[in-house]
Parts: sequence; structure tokens; C-alpha cells
Amino acid sequence: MIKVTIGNNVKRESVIIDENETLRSVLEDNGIDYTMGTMNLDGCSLKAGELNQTFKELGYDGTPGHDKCYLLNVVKADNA
Amino acid sequence: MEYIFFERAKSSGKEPVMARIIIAGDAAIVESAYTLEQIKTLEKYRPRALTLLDEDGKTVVFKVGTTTGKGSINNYGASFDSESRNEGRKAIITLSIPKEVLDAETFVEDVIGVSIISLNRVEEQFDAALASVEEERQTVRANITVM
Repeated sequence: MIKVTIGNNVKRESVIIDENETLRSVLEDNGIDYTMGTMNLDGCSLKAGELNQTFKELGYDGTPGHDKCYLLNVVKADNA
Repeated sequence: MEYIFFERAKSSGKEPVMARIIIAGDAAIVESAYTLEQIKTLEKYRPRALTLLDEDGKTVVFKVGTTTGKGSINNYGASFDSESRNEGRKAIITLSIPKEVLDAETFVEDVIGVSIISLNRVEEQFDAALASVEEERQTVRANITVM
């Protein structure tokens, strides 16, 4: 299991999930709209295909140092 | 073969419900007191029974579940991936012990001891949740009519 802080500009929450779940399924289970803005995993921008990868495939396998992350959808307003 | 038992006796006087760790060679096996099927049932009908909440009762601090990948256990939870080969068919997680480790018992206790305590605390909720699910399923079955 890994701890994921998931959210967007206005809300964030921590959830514990199986590392074999995909990023997309975790976002959908937690009601996070990923159709707008930029998806960031620990501050790095995600490419479209990476949403279908599991956390384990992206290096978060539950071992010490690889057991928590931030998955955030950031929407920037114009001129912000 | 060495056996380590992390027991948490129940105050009710019933047989204690506990997960156990079996060390065999370079493998450490965490065996739940419940079957994989029972855990899957709770995932489907009572997911809250698989979680341990913090003192304010809002934040999940430990979670038990099943996985389609490789099972694992750490401070955040336990994912069971397989079943024991004995007649109990309990849910298990198989971990590797590094070859350089000399004292396997101390290593296992140090690495997953805290997680086993949390796992036992979560599993204490299983009996009541499974009984309640079974009751509801029986009610549903009683209302199924085949025409």
C-alpha cells in the first residue's frame, strides 16, 4: 500500500491505495477531474499515457522512500 | 523452520484473532487470520471494515486489501495476493529476506512488526463485519424468486 495525497487547486486529501492501481482509477475513485489543467506526480508533469500506468510502474512500490506521493491536478487561470 | 507469533489476545476471552509470520529460508510469509475470499467480500460490501482510522476517526492510517500484483505490507497497509497451501487457505503475503541478514526474526520484527500490530487491529473488525454482510446476503437470497 502507498499513501497518495490527491487533489486539485481547492481540495486535497490523503488516501491509502494499492500500488498496483492505475493513476486514472485513483483519480476517478476520488472524484478528481483530470480533463483540465496539468497533472503532476510529485511536481513532475504527467503525459497522457502515464495515467494508465500503475503507481508501481512509476516507481512507487511501497518500499521505504517509495511509499508516498502527491498526485495533483493544477489548473492555471489565464495570466496567472 | 522457525515460527514467530505476534499475538494480540482478545479481551472477550474468545480465541485470539491474529495474523502470524512464518519464516522459511529466505522467505517471510505473513498469514492473515482470514481467507482471501473473506477479505474480497469485505472489499465489496464493507470497505470501511478494512481500514484503521486515527484518533479523530476521519483519516485512514492503515488499510488491508487484496491485490492483483505482488502482495506487500508496510506502515500504510497490507495487500494480500495469495492463499496458504494448508487446509485453512488463509490469505498470505510472501516477502524476501535479504541474504546478508543474519538474524531473520529480528529483521522481520524490525521491518514489519508495527504493521502486524496494525493488521491485527484491523482484523479485529472482520468478524462483526462478515457476520453483518452474511445476514444481509441471506436477506437478499430470501427475496430472490425464480419464475
